[in-house]
Amino acid sequence: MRAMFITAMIHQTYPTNGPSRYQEWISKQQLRNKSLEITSLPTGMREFVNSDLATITGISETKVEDDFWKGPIFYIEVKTELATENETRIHKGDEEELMAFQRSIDRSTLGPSLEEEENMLDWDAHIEMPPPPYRAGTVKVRFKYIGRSKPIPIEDPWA
Amino acid sequence: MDYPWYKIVTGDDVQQGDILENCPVFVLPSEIHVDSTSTTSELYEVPFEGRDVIIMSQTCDMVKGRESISEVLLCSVWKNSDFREGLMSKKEDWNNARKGRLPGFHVLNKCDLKGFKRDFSVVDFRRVHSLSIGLTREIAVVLGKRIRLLPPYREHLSQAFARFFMRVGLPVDIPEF
Repeated sequence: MRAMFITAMIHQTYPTNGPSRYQEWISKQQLRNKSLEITSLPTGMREFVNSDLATITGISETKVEDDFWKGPIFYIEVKTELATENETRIHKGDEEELMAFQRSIDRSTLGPSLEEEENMLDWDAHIEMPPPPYRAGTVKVRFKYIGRSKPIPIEDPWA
Repeated sequence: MDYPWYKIVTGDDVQQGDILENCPVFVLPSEIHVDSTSTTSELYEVPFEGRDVIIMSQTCDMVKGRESISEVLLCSVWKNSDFREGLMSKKEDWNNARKGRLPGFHVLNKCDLKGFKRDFSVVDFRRVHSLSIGLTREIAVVLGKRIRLLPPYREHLSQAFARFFMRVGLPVDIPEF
């Protein structure tokens, strides 16, 4: 029997600004994957895509508030067990099979695919309120019109 | 082979990538009414802030005696420790910026030069300022020793700014194949 932990962090939304589109997307992906994971791998049923050797025997989840990440972190424990009576493909060795199975679940649960991730640019992300300045003050000025500005004469490189 | 990010410079020679700490930037109030052909009769209070800025203008435009610009373009630089909440307050935001997923920002490495230790920082392409080249030189002189971002990191920054500035949003995008 093996146990592994799959971690999904659900981002806390900003109380004032709201989450950026990218963060919202990441959160949705993680929630969706978490949900898929739990519904598609019920206790006692064989995982049917990635391996015919491993069987899920238990799933439990724990929610922990994390101070550093400022949001809840879900730990999903998935216990796997070998089902060696099914010999439908080349045996790589029990240990190797189990590791490959675990890696495949890790990949599917932890977030978007590499391709989706690379295409995700958040052009709108911006800092609403800049950090406080080191110093601040005012200068009193009277605006004086000095005429329309002229371009700086530069040498014509083609002349 | 060593490819340092920064070096210490002095004097009024200003180049792209020069970081001016605590540089005054002026924010004109929106309610000022300036007659286009005359002097304002009343005194206005114009607020200024001290910000860390980095020079974005091209070095070749600022060569002493052969300047081809009169105002220098600057971008605000925020230190990692400046953020307590919101965007850039989480490690994940910094990683996304580092990977180029937040095109409005560009992450600069920390500086370990003796006497000039600086945290990781981020250039904010949405907060641009300009100062006359004369005032910029004067500020640089008053600062004394300061740090300069070196190639190729300087060009990397410049390219990131260009990419952000030239962005085009399509009203109708091509659907996914």
